[in-house]
Amino acid sequence: MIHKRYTFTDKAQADSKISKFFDIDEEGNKIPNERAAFIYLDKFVLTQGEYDEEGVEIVAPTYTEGYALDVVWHDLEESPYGWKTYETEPESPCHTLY
Amino acid sequence: MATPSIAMIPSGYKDGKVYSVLPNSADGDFDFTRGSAATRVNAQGLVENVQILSSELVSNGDFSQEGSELITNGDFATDSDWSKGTNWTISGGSANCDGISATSNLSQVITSFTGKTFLVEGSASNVSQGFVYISLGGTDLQISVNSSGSFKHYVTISSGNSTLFISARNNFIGSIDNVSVKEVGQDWTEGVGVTISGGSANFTGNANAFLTQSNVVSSGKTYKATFTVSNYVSGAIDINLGGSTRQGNVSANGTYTFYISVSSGSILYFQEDFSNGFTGSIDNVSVKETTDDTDIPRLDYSDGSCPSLLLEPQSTNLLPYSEDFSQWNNIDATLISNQLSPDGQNSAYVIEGNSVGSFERIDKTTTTNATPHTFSVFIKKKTSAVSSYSGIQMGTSFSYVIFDSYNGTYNTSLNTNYDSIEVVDFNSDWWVLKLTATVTTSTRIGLWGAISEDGINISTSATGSETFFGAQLEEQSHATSYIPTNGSIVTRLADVATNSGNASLINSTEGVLYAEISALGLGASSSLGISDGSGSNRVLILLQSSGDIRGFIASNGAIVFDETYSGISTLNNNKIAVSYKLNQFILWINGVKRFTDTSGNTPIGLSDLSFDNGSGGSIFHGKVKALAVYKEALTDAELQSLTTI
Repeated sequence: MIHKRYTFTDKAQADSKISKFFDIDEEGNKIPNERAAFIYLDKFVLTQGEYDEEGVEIVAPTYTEGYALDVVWHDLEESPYGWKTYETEPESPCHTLY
Repeated sequence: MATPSIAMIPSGYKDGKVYSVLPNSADGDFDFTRGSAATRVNAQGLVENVQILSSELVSNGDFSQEGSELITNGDFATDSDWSKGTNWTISGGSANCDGISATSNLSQVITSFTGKTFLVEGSASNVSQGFVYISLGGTDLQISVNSSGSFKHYVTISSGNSTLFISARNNFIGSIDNVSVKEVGQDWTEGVGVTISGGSANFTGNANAFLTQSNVVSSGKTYKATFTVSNYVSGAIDINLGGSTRQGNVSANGTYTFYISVSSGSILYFQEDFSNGFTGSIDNVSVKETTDDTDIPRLDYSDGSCPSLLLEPQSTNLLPYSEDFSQWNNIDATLISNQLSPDGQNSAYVIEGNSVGSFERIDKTTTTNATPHTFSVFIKKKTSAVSSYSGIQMGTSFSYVIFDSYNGTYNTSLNTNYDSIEVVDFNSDWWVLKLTATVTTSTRIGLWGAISEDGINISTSATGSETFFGAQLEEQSHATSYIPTNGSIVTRLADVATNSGNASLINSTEGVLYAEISALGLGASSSLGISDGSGSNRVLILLQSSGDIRGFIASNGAIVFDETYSGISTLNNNKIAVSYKLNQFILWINGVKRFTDTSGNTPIGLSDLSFDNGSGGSIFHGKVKALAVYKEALTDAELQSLTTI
């Protein structure tokens, strides 16, 4: 089992990559064809925003670039074909597995 | 009643396996995967990481235990048990000294106590002259009492004079009463420079100080050790399990956790860090056996004494500090840490709002998708009616939830209503509040110690406090089990149990699939059933996203039975049976025959029992109290008996 971070341009690109690991049955159920867990992370806050008493934003937070996705590949020892390009190793992952 | 060929009642498990009760072979066992840790409610009603394999291994880890009374007749109710010197009398419920002689002893021999720590207490009254000199263990305890009032002292006896002396000095005139000597710090051995008193072990800076407890750990195992440092002054402290490798170098107040593999020995050993001395206190010492296995099934006791197999979807706690509320944004609130928490530790916080004229709160804003999210948090029960009410809010556009932590009730104030608000009576000490709503792309969680005086309207005049633990925000339409975080968001992966049974245990021509199950929430369908490993031949029980219960049978790709019952809630525990036989298909729920179909062929090649729809989709998420497969179609009487709640 490996746990990898990938950064895509946007969610659509991530979804497109992920879709190859599912088949759709006659009832519309997504049937995984690879034992994997996809964890949609999107962006992380780099600097916190500031908010007033009612939670209205005063100073906008800043975010990481791209669309972050963590994947746990249960049966693989390295990223599958076509994924290696998107691997990233941030200094502060901001996300862990329990 | 016929005997099932496969029966799973949650009891036995190991990493990667859920054991079935029947058959006696391994053919009925489930393969289990998750790939991460997870929490459950254990048999003691505590939230617990399933990777924790043992109960608490440290005795008296909070140093609060007191032994039995060692003094006889300490209240001087009778004139007995004490050795009285000249001038001492016992009468009127006290020992009285008349002051005629300069010195005179009152004493009592107690049991031998070398190396142990004792709490010595009593009271003096009517003191008008001189003082009493109280000693225990020779020179270890030597205190003077020269005025009326109570006295309380801890003493660690280095060698064994086993007599308590109350020695009148300087012509003492006065009375002594309520004398008590009790052992404290049981199960611990204190070295030089360590005393156990006031509910902690206190190091005084000695370069050779140590504190030990024997027979705590075993070689070849891994342990999670936690302890709290308080009153820190200088130096550093190490923890050592087994006696071979020390860890820690702790040099600040706080609660610390270490995972330690033990290669030999059995001792728990605290020692100052390499002769640098340590001045500070140790408390709340805990050692539990643990593992890094990630495919451990969860037997969950949140519904009572009978466990359920808990099967949950993947979920992420989006709040990076679920317990350490000091890391949240603080708007004038006072935080008090180290409160007893639902996991048996001291990880809860009191949030106080004591200033009239402002709303004191803590909050945390996080990025979210504009989808249904659920926030859940533990709130400690108050033991008497409240005069102020705490506040909880998920998303600034949604209502303030004004919470009564005595009754477990709430009102909402202002803004938009949530999709759902649920209060769960977790145990005798805690509520769990759950809020669900479709949020925006930025969600602020706010917690107020006091937000209302009347329980209806929010007010800056409200003052008071509330104890919170375990804040969790997840992109789900219902709350899942607690996922602790400490500095990052954390994901628990999905539970998957599959691959029980074979063709010899599952009859394709007739049989019964039975389950006692409940759903975790609405919004997603869950399936379990027997199949040929595809969608073509299968017998399924489905908990529908709508909250309905569905029985489904397919034979050679054709649907032969598909009935949905909507009269009861899938969130409750339901007993469901689907019976199949040529031209006889029946769905039973909770003792009542709900649907019958008298036409159709039976499935072909059934060989697999799994918590999915047979082809790996619609994975079951819920609680399972029982699951069984029968190789024959049972009678109505048998099915009624089997499914009656």
